[in-house]
Amino acid sequence: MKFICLGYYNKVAMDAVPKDQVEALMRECGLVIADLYRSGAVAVDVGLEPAATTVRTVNGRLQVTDGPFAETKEQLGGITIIEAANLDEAVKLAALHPAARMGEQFGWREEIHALHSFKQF
Amino acid sequence: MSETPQDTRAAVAAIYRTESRRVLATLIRLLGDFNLAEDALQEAFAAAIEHWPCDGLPANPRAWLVATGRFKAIDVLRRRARFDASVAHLATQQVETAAEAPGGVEELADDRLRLIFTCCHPALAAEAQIALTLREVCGLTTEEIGHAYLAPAATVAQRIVRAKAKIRDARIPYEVPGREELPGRIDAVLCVVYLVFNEGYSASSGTALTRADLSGEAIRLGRLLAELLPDPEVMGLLALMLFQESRREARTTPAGELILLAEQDRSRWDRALIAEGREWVQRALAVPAVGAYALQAAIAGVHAGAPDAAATDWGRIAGFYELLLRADPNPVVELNRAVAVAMRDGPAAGLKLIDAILARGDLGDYQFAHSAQADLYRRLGRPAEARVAYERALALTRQEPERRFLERRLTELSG
Repeated sequence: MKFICLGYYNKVAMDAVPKDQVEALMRECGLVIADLYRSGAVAVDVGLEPAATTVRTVNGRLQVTDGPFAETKEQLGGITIIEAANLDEAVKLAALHPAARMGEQFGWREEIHALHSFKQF
Repeated sequence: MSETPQDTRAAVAAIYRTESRRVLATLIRLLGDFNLAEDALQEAFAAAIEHWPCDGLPANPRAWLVATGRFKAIDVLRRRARFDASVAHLATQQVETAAEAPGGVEELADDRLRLIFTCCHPALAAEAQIALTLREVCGLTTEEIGHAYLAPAATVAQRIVRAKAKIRDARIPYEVPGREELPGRIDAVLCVVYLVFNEGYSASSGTALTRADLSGEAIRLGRLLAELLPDPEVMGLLALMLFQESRREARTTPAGELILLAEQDRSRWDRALIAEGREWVQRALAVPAVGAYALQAAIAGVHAGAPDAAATDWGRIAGFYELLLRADPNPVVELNRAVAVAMRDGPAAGLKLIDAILARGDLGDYQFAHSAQADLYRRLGRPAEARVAYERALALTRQEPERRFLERRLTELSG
C-alpha cells in the first residue's frame, strides 16, 4: 500500500530569517533523512519549486495559466511517496523525514494520505 | 428434560449481552471492515434465533456466531461482486480463508484489545474516539450515547460514520501496537476511558441517571482492560475510578448540592468498590516506576481508608503528591499538594505554596486555586482576604452547585 506524505512549511516565517540560516537548516536535512532512505520504503522524495503553472478546461477548451502564487503563508514544499502496510507504519516512516523532525520554528509538518489509483503500477 | 423455545430465546438474549462485542471484534478482524462486520453480527444473531430453538444451543455459541456471521458476509460480498468486479477478489479471499479456524484462543482474546486500540487511535479526534469506543466496544446505541453527551443521536451517528470511514480510508490498522509504541498508545486508551468516566461523574449537566451509566461503562472498560492488558497504569486508572465511584452517593445532597470530601458521610461510601480499588492499587504500586494514575489512585485510597478528614494520613497524601508532581509536573497537581501540606503542617504552610503558584502567573483563571486560597485565609482567621479570594473563585465558576457552595461560604464569612 502506498502513502503520500505532503511536507508543508510556513512561508512567512521562513522568509523572515536571513538566507544563510535557512541554508544551514537545509544542509542538516540531508543528514537527518538518511534513516528514511535506508528503510527501502521510499518510492519518491522530492522538493517543489515554488513557481506553479495551472492547466484546466475552461469553457470546454484547455487553458494554461501562471500561478497560483504563494499568497497564503502555508505552502506545500515537498512530497514523499512511501510503501507501508498501514497508517501506523506510514507514520513511523514519515516521522523519519526532516519535515516531521525539524523546522518547528518554520511550521514544518507532514500530512499523510493513503493513495488509491486508477491503475496498478 | 429439554429446553423450551422460550428458554432458548432467553439464552440467545443472554449470549448477545455477553458475547456480541467479542464476536464483533473477531468479525472485524476476519472481514477487515467495521460495517460489514456489524451487519454480519446482526445476521448471525438472526440466524441463531431461527435455528437454536429447533437445533438446540451449539457447544460453542461464540464460534458458531463467528462462523455464521462470516458466511453471511461472504454471501453479501458475492452478491455485490455481481455488480462490482472490484469486490470479487474480496469474496474469493474470504471463501479461501474461511475454511481455516478463526484463530487461536489468544488471537480471540486479542480481538477485543485490537478493537479498543483501533477505536482510540490518535489519528481519530477525541470525540470520535469516545463515540466509537462506546458504540463498538461497549455496545451502546447512538441514542444512548447522544443522551449521555446531550448531543442529538444524528450527530453521534455522523461522528461514528466519519470515524469508520477514516479508519478504512486512512488505513488505520486493526492491531495491538508493538512494544515500542505501546506505552503511548495505552495512554491514549486510558485517556478515553477516564474522559468517559469523568463525563459521568461530573454533576455539571444532564440527568443523574444517564451520567452514572457512563461512569459504569468506564469502569466496565477499565475491568476489561485490566483483564486483557495487566499494565500498572491500567490497574491504577481502574482503582482510581473505583475509589471515586465509591463516593458517588455521598458527594451530593438529595437536592443536588455538592458535598466536599471532608464533609461527606463516610458510612455512605461503597465498601465493595473500595475493597476492589484497594486490590488493584496495591498491584499497581508494586512496580519500580509508578505512574500518574496509580499515584492518584493511591491518594484516593488513603482517603477511602480514613474515618474522617481530620484522622486522614495527610503526610502520606502529601508524599504521594510529591511523587505525582515528578511523574506529571503541572500546576494543578502542585495546588493539590499545597492543600495536603496545609492539612499536614497547618494553613500557613499551604498558603505559602499557593501564593507562589499564583505569583508565578499559573492557575490565575482556575477557580479551585482561589477557593483553596480563600479556605486557608478563612482558617487563619483573615476574613477580608478570604472574601476577596472567594469572590474571585465565584467569578470564575460556571457550575451551579459550585456557585451555590461558594455563596454559602461568603455568607458564613459575614455571619
